[in-house]
Amino acid sequence: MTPPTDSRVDVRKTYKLYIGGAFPRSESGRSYVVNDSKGRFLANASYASRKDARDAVQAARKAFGGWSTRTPYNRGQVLYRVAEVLEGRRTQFLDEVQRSEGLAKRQAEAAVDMSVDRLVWYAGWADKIAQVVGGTNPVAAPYFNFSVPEPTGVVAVLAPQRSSLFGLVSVVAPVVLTGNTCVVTASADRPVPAITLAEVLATSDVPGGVVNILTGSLADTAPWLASHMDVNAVDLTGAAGDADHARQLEEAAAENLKRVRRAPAAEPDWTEEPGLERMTAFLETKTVWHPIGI
Amino acid sequence: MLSWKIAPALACGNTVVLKPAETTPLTALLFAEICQQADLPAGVVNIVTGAGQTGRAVVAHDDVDKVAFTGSTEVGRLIARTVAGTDKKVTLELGGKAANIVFDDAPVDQAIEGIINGIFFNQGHVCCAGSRLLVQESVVEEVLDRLKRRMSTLRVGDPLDKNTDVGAINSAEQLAKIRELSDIGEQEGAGRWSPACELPAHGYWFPPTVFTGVTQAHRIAREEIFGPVLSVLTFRTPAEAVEKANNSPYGLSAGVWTDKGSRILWMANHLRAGVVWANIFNKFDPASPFGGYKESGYGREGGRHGLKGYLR
Repeated sequence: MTPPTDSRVDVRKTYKLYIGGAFPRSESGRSYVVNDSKGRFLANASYASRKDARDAVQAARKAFGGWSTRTPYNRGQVLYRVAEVLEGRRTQFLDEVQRSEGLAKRQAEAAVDMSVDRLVWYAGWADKIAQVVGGTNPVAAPYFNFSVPEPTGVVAVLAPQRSSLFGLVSVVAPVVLTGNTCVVTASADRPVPAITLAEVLATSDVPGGVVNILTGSLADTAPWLASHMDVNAVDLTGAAGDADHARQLEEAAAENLKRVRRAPAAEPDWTEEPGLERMTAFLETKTVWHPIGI
Repeated sequence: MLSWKIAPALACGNTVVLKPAETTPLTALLFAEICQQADLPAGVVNIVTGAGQTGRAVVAHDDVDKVAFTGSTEVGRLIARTVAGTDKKVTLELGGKAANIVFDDAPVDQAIEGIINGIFFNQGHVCCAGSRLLVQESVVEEVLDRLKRRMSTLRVGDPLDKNTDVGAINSAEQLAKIRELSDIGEQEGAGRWSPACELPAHGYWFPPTVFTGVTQAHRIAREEIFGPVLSVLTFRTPAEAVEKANNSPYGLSAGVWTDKGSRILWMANHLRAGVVWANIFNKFDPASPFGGYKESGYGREGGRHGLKGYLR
């Protein structure tokens, strides 16, 4: 018997974390209520703990060897695939972005479309960036000498607090495109599009562990990521506007000389041309010498 | 060291405050005279000598836009902490524990010269010194034999004498640290060997020293000694060599000795180090980017990459 529709109970989903390609609950068992921009219930989300952050770093480290040694062309293809799958869920993202950020329908449409475009834009850079930032070096002696960019390693990314999808995509894509793996803290108040993006990543060709997504409060995860000795770099974009917190995180990052991309004073305008800076911030330069002779 | 910092800074139109190492102020002050003779406008290059406190004052000053530092990882950490929350640009060229990897098909004569130059050049006071020698198991006896013979011909003595190969240690403090770590090497079970050589009676001296039977757990294989002390480890496969070479918080430089081109490129791809010298060691050029991965610091010196740190 099908019950009459007006008595149907909604499935109130509790969204989980995304670690190592799986969707675990927080080990702490904690969750929190996510409301939309008008204060109405939207979802329950997992409240990540420091242990979850450490698990995520471990998963990112494990994935680094395989991901960083794929060909740049292949990583570009994977990113294109992510763009395709994201586009396929356009309606869902539209709804979630609109409700999370309180946008007009047209603005939400633009945010979702620009997210797809940004992924495609970065995907195109996959097999070009090395030629722009690397090359041969004209040394004054008989040596063949060249420099190539290489990924820094595991990057902790504090995703922007306001732009829940477009901003998120704009900070994650440049990090992983070049071969890094990452642990991302999603916008604390607007985590739903990030969780849906995790579902997109899980069903694209992105290997598990390349992107790990934590939801919850920055205060509970960011300090542990910034001080973690197996994290190589940190992007503090999500701490924009909180100079004290950003400074503390940068100080913690000094312990193992993490590369730090500092927090801006305010969240950037994501519609601006991104440039190469978000890619080069998490690239190392390796220089190789060999004698020339007969 | 001084010119590697000042030249790119001036070339990009910056002005400079230089704080030389507390043990090497004299060359810096001589350089000041050269600046005068070259009619460099007053104030373009300024030199303040002193110890850590002076350095801290320079780094922390509100009107400094960029900090370029060469030195220990410990001080590098302090600097990174000091500039936190500011807009200052930073490049750090810090410690290293370079692996010099010798395969069984390596050109042995050149490799021996490379190993000697790698660790004994400037008494091992080089951040990129090849202080971990990784030798393929099948040739370890031959390589060690020839290495020891070559070490026996090194002259230790007056650094101003052009016949000298290994000069004096930079300070009493540094000498004590080299001695301490070497004694620990012995205590931890590694075999210590130095050629019979007479050390001058006065000054700070340490003979060229090699440790055999070293494992990755030994402190002499993990910590930067910054002296003429070489640790020898062995490996069987290229993968094992890479794993051992990368097993370090540092990642400044590495050396590879083999006749096989494809293996050089494979090794170069897999070594996590900012500079890889293949069939050569300790080569530098102003056009070639130099700098480390991981705790060896960040930013590059040399080449287009090096100029970037001095521009907005």
